[in-house]
Amino acid sequence: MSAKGGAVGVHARALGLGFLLPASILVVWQALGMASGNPRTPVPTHVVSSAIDLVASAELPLAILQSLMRVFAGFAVAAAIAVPLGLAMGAFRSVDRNVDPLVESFRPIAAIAILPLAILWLGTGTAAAVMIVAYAAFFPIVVNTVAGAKGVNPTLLRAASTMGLSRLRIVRTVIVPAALPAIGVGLRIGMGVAWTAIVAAELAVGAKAGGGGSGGIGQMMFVFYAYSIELNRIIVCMIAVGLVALALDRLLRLAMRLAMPWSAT
Amino acid sequence: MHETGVHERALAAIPGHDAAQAPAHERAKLRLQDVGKRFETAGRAASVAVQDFTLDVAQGEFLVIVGPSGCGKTTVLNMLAGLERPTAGRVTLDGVEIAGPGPARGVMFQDYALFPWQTVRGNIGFGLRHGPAGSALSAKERAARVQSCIDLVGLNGSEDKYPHELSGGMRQRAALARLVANEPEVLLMDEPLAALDAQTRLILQDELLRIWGQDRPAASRRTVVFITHAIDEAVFLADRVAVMTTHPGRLKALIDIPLARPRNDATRASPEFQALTQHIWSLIRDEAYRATVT
Repeated sequence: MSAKGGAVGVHARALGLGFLLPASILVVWQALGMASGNPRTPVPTHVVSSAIDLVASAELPLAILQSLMRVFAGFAVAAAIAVPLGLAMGAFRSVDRNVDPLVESFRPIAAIAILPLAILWLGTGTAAAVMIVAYAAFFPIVVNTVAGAKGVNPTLLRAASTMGLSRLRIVRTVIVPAALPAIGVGLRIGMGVAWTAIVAAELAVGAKAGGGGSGGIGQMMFVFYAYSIELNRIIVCMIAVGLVALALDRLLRLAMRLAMPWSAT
Repeated sequence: MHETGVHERALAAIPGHDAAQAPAHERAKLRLQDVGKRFETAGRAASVAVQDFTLDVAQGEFLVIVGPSGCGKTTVLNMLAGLERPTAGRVTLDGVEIAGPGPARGVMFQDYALFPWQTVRGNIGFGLRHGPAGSALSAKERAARVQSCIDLVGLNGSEDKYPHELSGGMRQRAALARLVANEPEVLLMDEPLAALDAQTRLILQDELLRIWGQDRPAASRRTVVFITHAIDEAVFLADRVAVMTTHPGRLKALIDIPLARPRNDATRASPEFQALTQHIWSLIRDEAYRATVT
């Protein structure tokens, strides 16, 4: 074998080793599923064919699109409140002292726990789902923004004050840009939480909100679970949720990099 | 004054001292009068950082404060900057008590304090754009001032780089340009060259004197208070060196440096330079030694 061929061989072997565990899991899953004798047990081959059906019928893409709209709306509401509030809390101690106890006492209350209130106030449609998403995404964004605004290198604040800047001007020109990386982390976590919350919200809210793609991916999963009992399709939905979350996170990371050309990472 | 003895001895050691110069207090730009600073920490005895510190800095003077670490040099500078308030005595600029930071007193920090999200150009123009220093200037005038400061420190070609893309020496040049761009009346520098390697340091000492205006008549120079722990750096730069001692931080001696300006490598090689360096070292050697064993 030539040196080059050897290198390729090593490469292929490393690649093979890298996928050894996932591949083994799929094989074992397939074997166990077939051995169970129950035709409803999901196995990889059926999941793949279900995925092809759901994409071809446009059901899955439409449901994801619907859910994404709600996620973006809720996320936007959360960010629009959490970022300014977090900056004010981080920059001004008086604001922090007043708001922090409120934030911290609501934070442990799961988004799904406010579902009854959301339905009472906003009905069982999109508005309630958006509110739940906004509630869920709010906390990671506000907590990270506060940490970012408080963690500004004090020498930078001193430098700005020795140039005669007012406190308000310093907030805008030093604290905001210095806190941007932390805000970015908060937005990324918030987006992940928002996507988690929409599935939960649509499971409950969307069940009565009409059929088809309009219910979003959460409702779609609920229908497959409660009515048609198609476990393969539920697995397809789970994988789709994971892939969308990954894509959203990568997009946000790219946006951060573009927004912060100074950061070395 | 209690340091007069040393003062005179240092003068006597150096021939050619310009005795016609008016005494510093007649044209005092900055004045520290019986200044003290105690730091109160809850549950612990208050620590005295600075005590009975009296010093006048003349208009256009380059004053360097040296002393072992922990002697309160930075506290003195911070009080001049208005970043800290004295707990005793008065600190004044042109006779007016310093109550807080202000654009008349520009500060250069040891760790550069460049804004990482601003390019070199953005950093240099920061005070002009956001502070009172540039409020009377048009955008065009501001840009011209920034450009002249870039030229002054030789950062051409790096204007659009971010601080993390610069070497230590270039960052320090950018910080210096930002300082002078705001045209403060007083330049306060807290060990600005301490983090640099030895060669870069010598080069920036030369640059600093050039930018301060050592070739110009004394009247057109800015007032500088510069902190360092390097005695040779102090002697090379200063009109006068204030030597501080620790626990508490006091002014131990005020030493005239009558070396001719403009100063250069020949100055560093001169016997007068060596004699002054040795003399200051002898003043703080015992304390510096103790600081290394405790």
